[in-house]
Amino acid sequence: MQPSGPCPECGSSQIVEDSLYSQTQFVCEDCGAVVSEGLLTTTLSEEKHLNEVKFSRLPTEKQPGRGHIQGLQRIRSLCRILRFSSNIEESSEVLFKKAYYHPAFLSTHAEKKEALAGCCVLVACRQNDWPITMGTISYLLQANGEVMHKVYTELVQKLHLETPPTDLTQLIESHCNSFKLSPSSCPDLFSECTTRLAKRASELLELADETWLVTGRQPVPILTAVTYMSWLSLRPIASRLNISLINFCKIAKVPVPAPASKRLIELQDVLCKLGQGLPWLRGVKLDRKSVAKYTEDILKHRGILLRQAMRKYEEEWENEQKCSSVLLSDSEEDSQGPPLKKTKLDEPSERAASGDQVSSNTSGHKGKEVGLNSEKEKSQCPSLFLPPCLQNPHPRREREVVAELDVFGDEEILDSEIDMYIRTPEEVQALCRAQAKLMKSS
Amino acid sequence: MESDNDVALDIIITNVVCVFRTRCHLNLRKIALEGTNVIYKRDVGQKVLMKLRKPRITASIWSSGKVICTGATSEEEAKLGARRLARSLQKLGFKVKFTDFKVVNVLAVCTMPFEIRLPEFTKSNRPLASYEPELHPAASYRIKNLKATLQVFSTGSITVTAPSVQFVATAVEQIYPLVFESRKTAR
Repeated sequence: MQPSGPCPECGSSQIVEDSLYSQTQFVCEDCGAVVSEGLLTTTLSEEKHLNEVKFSRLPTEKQPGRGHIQGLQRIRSLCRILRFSSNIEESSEVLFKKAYYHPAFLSTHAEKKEALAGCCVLVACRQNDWPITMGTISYLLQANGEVMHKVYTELVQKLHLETPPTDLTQLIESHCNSFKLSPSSCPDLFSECTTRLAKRASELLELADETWLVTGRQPVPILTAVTYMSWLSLRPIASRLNISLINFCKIAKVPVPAPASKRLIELQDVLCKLGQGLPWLRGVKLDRKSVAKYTEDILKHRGILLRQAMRKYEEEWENEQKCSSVLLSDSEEDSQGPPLKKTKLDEPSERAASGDQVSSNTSGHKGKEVGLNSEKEKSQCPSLFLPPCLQNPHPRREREVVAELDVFGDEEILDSEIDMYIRTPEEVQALCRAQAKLMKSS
Repeated sequence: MESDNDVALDIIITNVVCVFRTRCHLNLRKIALEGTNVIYKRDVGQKVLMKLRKPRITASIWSSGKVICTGATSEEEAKLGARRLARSLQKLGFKVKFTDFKVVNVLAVCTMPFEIRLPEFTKSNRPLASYEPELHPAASYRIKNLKATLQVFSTGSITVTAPSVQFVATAVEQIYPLVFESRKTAR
């Protein structure tokens, strides 16, 4: 930078270059006035002159950050605790490195990064067919379940990962191993061989899957319920039958998931339904407590019992249909059908009350839709074993049936319709007075 | 919507979300004071919630003039509700112009007459389908070209989210053969 012209103060041409710390200045030698000054050294100016190079451009390999190192340590300790193979550990570390530096995870807070390590281990296990649940990993990491869920969903989406789902039958063995039922850790009456327990539990699990108790549900409560049932049935003595699910989990030193008791009730109901088909149990009153004694027989013949129960149910349903159609043959009303079907097939007509319908052939009337449904009822018998939410639906609040509006979107809007949404000046003044009083009193 | 010669499926629209702009600044305090059925949300992202009775719609109004309406059960109803709202704002004294109206999301429910085996459905439709029972009881299926997301439940109920009613119908037509293959068959 060159000085431009003489000094404006004294007119002298003796201008020298001087610097105040790092700022260059042109100063008049005679009067000392600062004629002009340069820029303070900035990275911007120096970059323009290519004096400074950004760290990210340096060819040297960058050291991993602290968060990265902590995440890798977390992964290694998880893999050692759970005794994973080196394959899983290596693929978790590679995945973590890729995910950590992804923009979606790089600037997130520490809790998410902790959960990221666990999610990488989970993905690596899934890809290597190693059965483990997200609950186990979040329990070991002491991580918040919701954060784990969000991070896992984001990880799979952002990195386009394929994660095959875990098969519950693979999980059952590791779940049974976590129950401390060896002779050294509990009384002899309660101790059980893990192999036998896992085998009986996997049979019960298959039955539960066949009867809609598994699909869409959290896996751990079902596994706990199934393990308890298998423990009861392997030695159905009075002292075991008197132990509840919660006490069993205390004996085995395992936490009780909240929905496990509901799953147990559903499983016991299924076993009771099937047990009624056994010839040597005809006349015996089966209830939830006593069904454990006959579980072995039910499981042995479960295929036949399932087919028999469904065939019997279908025959009963057809007989009822015939009786009801004979009774109503003179009337023009639609047949009602048995209560179980109503629960399942009337739901679409109940739901129709709450919204509009898009149907190519209907005119949008509920009556016509119910007519269609009753025709379906006649032709199709529902299954004996339905998902429990269909068998015992929640009592829905009856929404007020809004008359269907024939709207086109471009109708004229009357002033009277709008006036109901606007307060009159008197109402506004009253509101202001009320607010002022509230402010004073508070 | 008939997607099969023998079956008539009813698609029930439960929610339509639309947006429009008023092209003028809105004084939220004035709307809260002079409007009925109004809630003033002063927390993060200040906005006003205004509810209409007929059609049953809830509108979120920002001071920039952007308005989002939810709760309608058809696209026409959403437009009518949005126009009623714009008219109410006009009556309150703002120079409102009803512009940039667009339906952004339609949520519909459709029930299949059979139960669906979700693990089988997911296996045969990877990677578009994903099923994580620990996260959510339904399998989710994305159709990229329709920008539609479907949640398939084991009971046979399917929830469809798409940008318009036509896309919803197309999505249901596309998913029907896929879920039909994974239906529960009698033993």
